[in-house]
Amino acid sequence: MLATSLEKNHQADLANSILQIEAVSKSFGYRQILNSVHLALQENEMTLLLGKNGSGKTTLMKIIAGLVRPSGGTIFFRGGDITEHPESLRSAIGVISHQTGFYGELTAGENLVFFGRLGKKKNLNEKVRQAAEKTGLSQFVDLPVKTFSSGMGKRLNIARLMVLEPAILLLDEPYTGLDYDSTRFFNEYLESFKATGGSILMITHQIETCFDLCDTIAILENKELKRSFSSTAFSMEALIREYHNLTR
Amino acid sequence: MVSDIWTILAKDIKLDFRSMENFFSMLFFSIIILLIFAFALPADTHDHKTLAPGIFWVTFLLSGMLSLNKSFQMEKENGSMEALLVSPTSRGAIFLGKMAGNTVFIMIIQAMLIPLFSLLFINTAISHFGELLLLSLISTIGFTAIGTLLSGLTTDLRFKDILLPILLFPLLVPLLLASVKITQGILWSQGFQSELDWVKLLIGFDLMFLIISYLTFDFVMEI
Repeated sequence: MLATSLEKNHQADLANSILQIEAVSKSFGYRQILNSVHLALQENEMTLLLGKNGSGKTTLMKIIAGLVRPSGGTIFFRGGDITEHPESLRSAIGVISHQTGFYGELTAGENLVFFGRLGKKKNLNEKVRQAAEKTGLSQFVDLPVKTFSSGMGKRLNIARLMVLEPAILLLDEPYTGLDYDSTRFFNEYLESFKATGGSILMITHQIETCFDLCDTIAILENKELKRSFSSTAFSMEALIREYHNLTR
Repeated sequence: MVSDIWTILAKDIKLDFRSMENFFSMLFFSIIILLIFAFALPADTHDHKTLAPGIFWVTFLLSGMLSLNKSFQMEKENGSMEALLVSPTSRGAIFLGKMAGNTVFIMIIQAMLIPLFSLLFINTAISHFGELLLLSLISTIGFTAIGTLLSGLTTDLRFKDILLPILLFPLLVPLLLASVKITQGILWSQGFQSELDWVKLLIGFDLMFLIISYLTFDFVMEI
């Protein structure tokens, strides 16, 4: 079986990781969503988190982002326990989810400046100008975000990440609504982000779109993170087969 | 933290005055309530003098609800709330920024309503414009402190438009009583001095709910 032969050394992962999740559990009332989940994110690596719908992937991501408190367990960021006070982690993470996360009535530039100010960034105007230029949004900076297409919204999300310069990216279905060019642009950004020491945790069902970027694949199953594989040791087809078996 | 509060306040004011839809709906709603009371009451200035403070504050509460209802709406529409919550700013700063935005918005409406209130009910009220505005500020701080918290709490709920006033109005009874009593003192030219106990109650109410809301906002915002 693919799982047993390729499992990584979990303890070694924890020791070298930028973010560690140890025995994290989450219950909403009597309903348990996560049970003793262990996960480690490394610098220069992308982890793909797979699992059935409703398996708790988004909840786990929200716990990491500090949006939801875990019912149990510990989260370490650069070796420090930040479970109770995730503020220090927030300045190091960037999030892309299903929604754009921008104010439609504000222009793209105003949105970037707003989030940049909250992120305490210096030379903000210059950073915003550069980010808009790199994402091809220079000529749209003064337009309200409500006029943007979903692809432009994703580019603006990338521009926000460029302004905020996070160390960890949390991506929940980031390819939704992206055309071929935007997908390629997004993957190029992820590649350069990884190359500069960044760590990525991604949830997506579009495995083939991001497979080449993945270093580790983790599968959430029955409320637990049961399997963690290195992506280099098997083919995309094998993974997709495994994933289809899992989600069937 | 102060710069974060200012950034959030400036953003909210910019959003409110760019679309103007919230501003005009709240302004016209307030004018309509005052006009309904003016038509419904007998044309007797003595009765007006007794009833007018209550009318002023009921109008304040009803129109203020519109401000609170829309408070987190713009955050929820495109998932901006999540982006705001994962930013490094503290939840306390988010609360104070949103609360300050509501306070500014309500105060602008109050400042515009006082002349109309004076015209419709008590001609001399306009001569107490400064005192009424100061009282409005003190009352608005208490109103927005508890209102912003409850607006955040109910913003994801199905019947939030009904639930918010049901939760909020009972808590506002002390604020309403104190505001009406102090307004009577102001309109009868006795100023704040004649109602010092009510002023203390109002300030105590403000402080209590400001502290409670500030401390609990973090838990309310868990999504």
